[in-house]
Amino acid sequence: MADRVSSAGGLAILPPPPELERPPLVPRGRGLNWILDTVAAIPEGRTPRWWWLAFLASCLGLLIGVSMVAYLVTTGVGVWGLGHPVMWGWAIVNFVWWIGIGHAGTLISAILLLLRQRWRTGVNRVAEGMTLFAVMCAGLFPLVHMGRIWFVWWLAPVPNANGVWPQFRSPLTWDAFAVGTYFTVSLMFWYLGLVPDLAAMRDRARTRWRQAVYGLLALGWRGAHRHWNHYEKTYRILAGLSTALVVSVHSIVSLDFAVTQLPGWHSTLFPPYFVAGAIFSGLGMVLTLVIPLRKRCGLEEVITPRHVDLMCKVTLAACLMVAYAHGLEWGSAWWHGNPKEQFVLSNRAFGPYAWAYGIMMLCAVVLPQAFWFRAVRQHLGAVWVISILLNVGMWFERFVIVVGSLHRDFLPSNWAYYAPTWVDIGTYVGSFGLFFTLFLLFLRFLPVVAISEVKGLMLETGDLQAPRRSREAPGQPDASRGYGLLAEFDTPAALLRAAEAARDAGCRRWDVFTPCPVPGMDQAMGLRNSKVGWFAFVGGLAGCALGLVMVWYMNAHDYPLLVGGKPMFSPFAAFPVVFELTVLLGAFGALAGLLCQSRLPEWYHPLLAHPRFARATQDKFFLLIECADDRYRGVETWRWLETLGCSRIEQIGH
Amino acid sequence: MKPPAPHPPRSPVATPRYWRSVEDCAGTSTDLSSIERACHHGLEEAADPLSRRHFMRIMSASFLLAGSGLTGCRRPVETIHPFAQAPEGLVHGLPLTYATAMPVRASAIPLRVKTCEGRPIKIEGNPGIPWPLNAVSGAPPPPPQGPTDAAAQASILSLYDPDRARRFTRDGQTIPRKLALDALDALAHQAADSRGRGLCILADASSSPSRARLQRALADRLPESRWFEYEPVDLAAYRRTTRAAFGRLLQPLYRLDVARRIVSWDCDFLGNEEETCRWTRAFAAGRRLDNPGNEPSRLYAIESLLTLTGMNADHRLRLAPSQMALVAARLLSECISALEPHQRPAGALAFKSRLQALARTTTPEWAAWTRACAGDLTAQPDRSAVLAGHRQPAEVHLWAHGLNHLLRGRGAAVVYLDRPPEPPAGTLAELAAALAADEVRILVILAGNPAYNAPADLEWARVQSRADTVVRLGSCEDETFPACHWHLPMAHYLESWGDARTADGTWLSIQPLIAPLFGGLTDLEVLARLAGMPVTEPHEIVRETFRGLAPDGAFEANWRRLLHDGTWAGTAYPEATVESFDWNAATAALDSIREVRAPAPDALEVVFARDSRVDDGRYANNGWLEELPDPVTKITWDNVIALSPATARLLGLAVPEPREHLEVPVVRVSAGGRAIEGPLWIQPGLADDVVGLTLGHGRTRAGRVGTGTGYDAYPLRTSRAMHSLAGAQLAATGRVHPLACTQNHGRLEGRPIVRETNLAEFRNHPGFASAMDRDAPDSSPLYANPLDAAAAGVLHQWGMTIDLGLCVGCAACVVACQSENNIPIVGKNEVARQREMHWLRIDRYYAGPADDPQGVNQPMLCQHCESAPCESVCPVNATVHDREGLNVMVYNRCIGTRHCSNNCPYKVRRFNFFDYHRRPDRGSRPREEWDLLSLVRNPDVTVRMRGVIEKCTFCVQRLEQAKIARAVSAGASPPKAVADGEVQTACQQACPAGAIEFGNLRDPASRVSRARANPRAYAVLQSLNTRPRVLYLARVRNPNPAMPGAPPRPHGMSVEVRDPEMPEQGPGTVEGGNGKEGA
Repeated sequence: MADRVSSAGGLAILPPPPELERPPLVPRGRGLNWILDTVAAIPEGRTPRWWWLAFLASCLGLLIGVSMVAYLVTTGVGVWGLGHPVMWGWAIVNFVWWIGIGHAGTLISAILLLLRQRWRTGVNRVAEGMTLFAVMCAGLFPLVHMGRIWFVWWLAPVPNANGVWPQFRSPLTWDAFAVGTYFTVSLMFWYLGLVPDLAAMRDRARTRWRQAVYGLLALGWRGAHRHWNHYEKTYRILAGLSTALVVSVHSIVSLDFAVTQLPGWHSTLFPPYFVAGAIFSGLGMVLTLVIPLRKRCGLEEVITPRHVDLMCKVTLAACLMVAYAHGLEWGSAWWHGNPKEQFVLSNRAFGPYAWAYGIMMLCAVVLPQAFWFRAVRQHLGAVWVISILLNVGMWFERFVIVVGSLHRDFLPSNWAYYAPTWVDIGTYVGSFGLFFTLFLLFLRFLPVVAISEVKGLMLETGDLQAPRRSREAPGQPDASRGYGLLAEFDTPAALLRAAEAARDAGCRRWDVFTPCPVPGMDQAMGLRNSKVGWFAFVGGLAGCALGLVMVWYMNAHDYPLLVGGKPMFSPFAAFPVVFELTVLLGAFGALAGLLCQSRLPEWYHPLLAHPRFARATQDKFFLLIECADDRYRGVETWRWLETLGCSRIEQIGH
Repeated sequence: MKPPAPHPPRSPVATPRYWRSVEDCAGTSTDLSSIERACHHGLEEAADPLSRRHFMRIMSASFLLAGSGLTGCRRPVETIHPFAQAPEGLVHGLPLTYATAMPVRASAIPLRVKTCEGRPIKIEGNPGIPWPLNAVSGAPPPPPQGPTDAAAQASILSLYDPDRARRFTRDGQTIPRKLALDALDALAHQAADSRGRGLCILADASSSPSRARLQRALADRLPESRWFEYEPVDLAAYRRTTRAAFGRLLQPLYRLDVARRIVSWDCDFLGNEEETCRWTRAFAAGRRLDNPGNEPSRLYAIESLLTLTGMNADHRLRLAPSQMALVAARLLSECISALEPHQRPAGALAFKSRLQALARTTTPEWAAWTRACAGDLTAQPDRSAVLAGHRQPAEVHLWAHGLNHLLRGRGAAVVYLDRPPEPPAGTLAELAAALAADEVRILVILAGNPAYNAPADLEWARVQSRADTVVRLGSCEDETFPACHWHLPMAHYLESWGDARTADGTWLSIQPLIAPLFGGLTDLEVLARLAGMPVTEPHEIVRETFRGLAPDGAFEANWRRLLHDGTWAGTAYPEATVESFDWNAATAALDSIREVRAPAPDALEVVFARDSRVDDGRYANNGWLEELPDPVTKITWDNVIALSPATARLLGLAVPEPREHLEVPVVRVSAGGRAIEGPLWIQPGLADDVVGLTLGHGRTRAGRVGTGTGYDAYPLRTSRAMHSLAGAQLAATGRVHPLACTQNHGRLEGRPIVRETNLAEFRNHPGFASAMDRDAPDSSPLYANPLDAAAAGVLHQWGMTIDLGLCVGCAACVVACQSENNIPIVGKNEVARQREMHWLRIDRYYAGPADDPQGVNQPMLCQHCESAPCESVCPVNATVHDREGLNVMVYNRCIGTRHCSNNCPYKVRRFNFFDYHRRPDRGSRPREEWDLLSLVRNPDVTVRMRGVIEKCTFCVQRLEQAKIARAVSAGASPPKAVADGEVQTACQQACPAGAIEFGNLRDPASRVSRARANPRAYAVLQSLNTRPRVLYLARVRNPNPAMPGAPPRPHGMSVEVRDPEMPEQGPGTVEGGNGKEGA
């Protein structure tokens, strides 16, 4: 990049001076398979000692959590420290905290994808995994905090024992839909990203069971560009939908508080405030995880200090938004002139929970300001410590909001002090156990970096080590009619030219296979825009209609009940559920579009049986002309393929 | 299968046959009779492994790690047994109500008790008991329900208390019932042989005419036997002192409804005196303020502790007990001065000059106070009453009688009734002396618990062992039990035949509602057996007594009428004509104040008060009462050692702000070589240099509920200092004690939650209460409330009002609600974690200076908001609205998210954190005890499982019953609305003050509709636009403008002047002349 001089309209753009040159995200001069070798080394290598230690500790935490939950469910919510008037304590604090942490994963993988931030590729897989596990931990708390967890299914819009439907004016119903959608879409997004990498793992696998498991999970992915075409579209659509979720989920979580009457909760500021806080704490968690990870897993070259530096900057931006919201709370209380709201704020800052407010301010507002300094951002140890403290601060922010508002509400006679019990603490520890157990398993068995995306990045920057030219003979032409002829190329550029030639030759049943999507291949192959978008659109439309009809039918038509003096049906109260269903069904539609159009999963394919083809997911580029193609002429085609600059041609049998 | 004991004897009048449960009636009972079998066959009760804590754990909050699995899914298996032969008058499922009375010391509370399927389940006041005197013309009609208090409401739980004495014992060993009765007869023979020599009977106070008759018969048959009476807290002083004042025993009747000026000399007639519920009713009648033109009474209170009376007073003077007599005499003297010369008797002048001769100076504050008070009293002398409390010495009572005599003029406010002389009785000290002199061979203790509550100097435990044989009839195997040779279980009053008289003499019948669960005896039966009477059945004894009262002929009909009404008309004592007051005695009594010294921090004065909940300890094993917050301190399950803030400061003691737990220092109070230790409580409003102790706690053998709660104050009490004690020292011990207090915050924080003003300002600006809604919302919300449309075709719209001017904070409603609605007891630990389950609580706020605050009470319950914030946040429709305006809670839909509680601005929703009602599968408590405890439950109300929210329902079961009854009576024609007063909520029914009105808002003439039209009506937190169906009527204080330092507005309001929610420049004169200088 830096050595390139572009000119537009006669205006020369000079390369930046060396001191301003950005350090590369991917080290230069590596082979395309470097990233795969680096990342695959973790699941394929010996299980390191630290992993066992960490896993043991996490399992212990998980065991604590499971026993706490068992005790809680069999005995009653009273084993926690709740009491009047603080009916929501640590459980809800933990819920909001964990779900906030999840948001950074979606931010990094989805929003930064849409914003074409290349640096996301180093960390997005970790962040997405973190999202999933954090949402699982988050989802645990609203479940177990219920008085009668065995009836939780009454939240679902299915007929239940009481013959009534869920009440769609309640933010908790919105919550159930939002968190459920968020988890589902995040899982789909994460899995979709994993599929090419799983295929790569499958193709490298030495043992049978690895082949089987990775193969099963990879859905028969072959790296076909006709698949990549749909895949990239689907990936972007899911990214777009996830972006909507990032904004909506924590907004809806914040509505649990904002729609109440309680001073300190009842505020229109909450949705953006919560979203900013969520992204802030999530980025903190990503930093906390990534800094030791790169060291322990030998990913220093994949997750570079520049990645950390960039994340610190985004974290700082989020921190400033949160700080602004803190200030705005005071401002709006002052501006409203509502004495109860003013009281709640001053009570938070100077009341019995002043210590929590102090920790929050120090850790979540003051300390991250250190990220203004480059030296701090470059010092990984300092960043790591700050990122942990930042999340401590953000936990206390939720604590201050939940408990700090509840414990002193309207009637002073109710006021009381809330303190957790050992069961509260044990349950929280258990959620960490769950999170890290899952995370360590993820580290151990799945590629922690989005391999195909980094490969794509390497293709884009073009700093690849020159591939070794294969000196093997192309082989003897074979006239037998098998499945097709597979031409192997060393560079994407050669493949691109070959694809153009194949397109121009008027082939129909042919495809190219690449370890990552090759830019420009769509035109080279003459592919049109994928139709996945239409699937997503129809799905979303169906979700929207379903949501509206469902809410109206259940609350206004089939079993209308007088609830809180509110109208029986209002589009405003129905909106969150409708929105979430739109997103959910839209995502399902996109995924269905991908799978239908790509005919996946397809666990048996003639190509997959070919040993040479395994490199299609690694570092080689292939072009296949099927025997069924009209233009297929046996040896003639073989000869024609030889002219396209391939390094090797194989006859693929059925 | 043993048939139930034949008790009561078949009477043609009462229900023909009492049975304990459906099973029992059908002859299939296994559980309860097994208790009897256990008693009869001497089944040895193993050493009790259950501590009180353990008991609470099982009874209320199961902390046990129950077996894995979803316990909530389990459904109990129950069998239904039909009646083979239904009792007379019973319609299955409909409750029956019987009139009876709860005897309390030398008085009784007339009751109507509801039974369901043969078991009593709810106590209600008997509205049919007439006032002894005609009501004043023009006064508002009294509330339609009979008054009760918290102890009466809770007494039903004691009936089913498994820790009651359940067996006959000799030397602690269970013996058959027959053996014990035979032994009693043998003792009677033995006593008869010696004409009663050596037989001493120690009884508690009683108003029972039958007992008095038996006592006389006993004295006739055994002339050398001796009779002693002891009450640890004797409330009869106000009556007994009439002998010194007027020369004969009279029953003063304070017409608090008529009196316009009331002075309390340490007389907590709203909380802790005899018949407080009736006095509360009369007081409330005199305070009614239906329109600004009413003239409410004015209450002056002089007291050492902060009591309910003090909190309801318009003027309150804090005084150490030793100074009380001084100020009382001073007030009397000021009144004498203030009267017209022709109104002053000569003796009164002598009194005045003698007081001046004593030259005791009072502080200027007291002088001004008494002068202003005297001026007010003498302004309308016939409408003034002075009451002296039971703790006051005889001379103060004497002066109170003198002052009333001086003021009474035409005798409207204080009436004296002629009370027949009581049978002679010795005191406990005399009995102790007799025991010490070895004059007692047989000691029979009827019901008392002297080993626990006798004055410490008598060393009762030691002297009681001097008697050869001690026979005791006791309701509990308590502290006195180990020292008794024979112990007989005493029947609960709901199991007994008996009679009683109220203080004014009204005859009340006591009839059993259930056969004695444990075969207990009544004191009548024991006395009859002791006296060797031919008839020992209590039923016959009571009939025999009644025979003397009822006119001849038609006895059975009269008897039926007595049992039906619960009373007999015309039995009140006749009004006495009182001519002269003994001024010489009053003057002579002045000598007692000669050497009075004021207390000091190193010589504190101790005041012994009867506990507001467990009384002198008799109700200690009642979980409802133990968990009832003290009306003033709001502490449950404990009593405290109270100090004023100033004294605590001087002594360097402090109670920390409650954090996770409220832990207070334990202090030691010592005086005269005796000492007790207990938790310290800093009580605003307490007199300085005074230590407030409450009796009744610290029981060591009360049962599994009451043992070990609080500290025992009796060891500090001697027969010379029964009520107060001077020269005490107080020191910290360095230990701390956890307390369970239901209200940690007592200030209103400038929020107009409780609204009050002074009478003058109220008259200028009657709508002051609603004018305080400064940020009242726009009355037209964004959407039409669908309730308005849904309610259009409905007959009822329920609503409630609570008059804060009438509510005295006695908490009878809280227990009534608990009893009616099967509200569980949760135990001290759970209350300490703010998990009390009361659907109705009473908030208490202080305003003004910490040393001498004004107190207000506010009952707080579900407000049944029309736009209920709780409803819209429930995800599963567990709380919704019905068309009659009730905010209904559907327990079986609730999944326990508790969001409704978070969004309830009043925080009146309660969460079942544990399975408080669960019968443990493998608990150490016998199954029959669980069966027993479940008998108290109201079958019309769901018992809630853990994990669900519950709250006030406006007693929806009563509403539905009333509506069904209406529909039944309407037949085929369309049903009419339930008439006003036909349905009452439990709290309304229990309220002695009649502060709660409930009814149909559709009916503009209903009491509640009229109350809502009162200009004082306001909604709490109106600004949230929740549109509550419960409105409060603001309190109006009636201070004396001439009183120095009287604030122009109540303290609470002057605080609120600074609050932006208050009108700063509003209409009327409330804001014009407001007390900016206030607190």
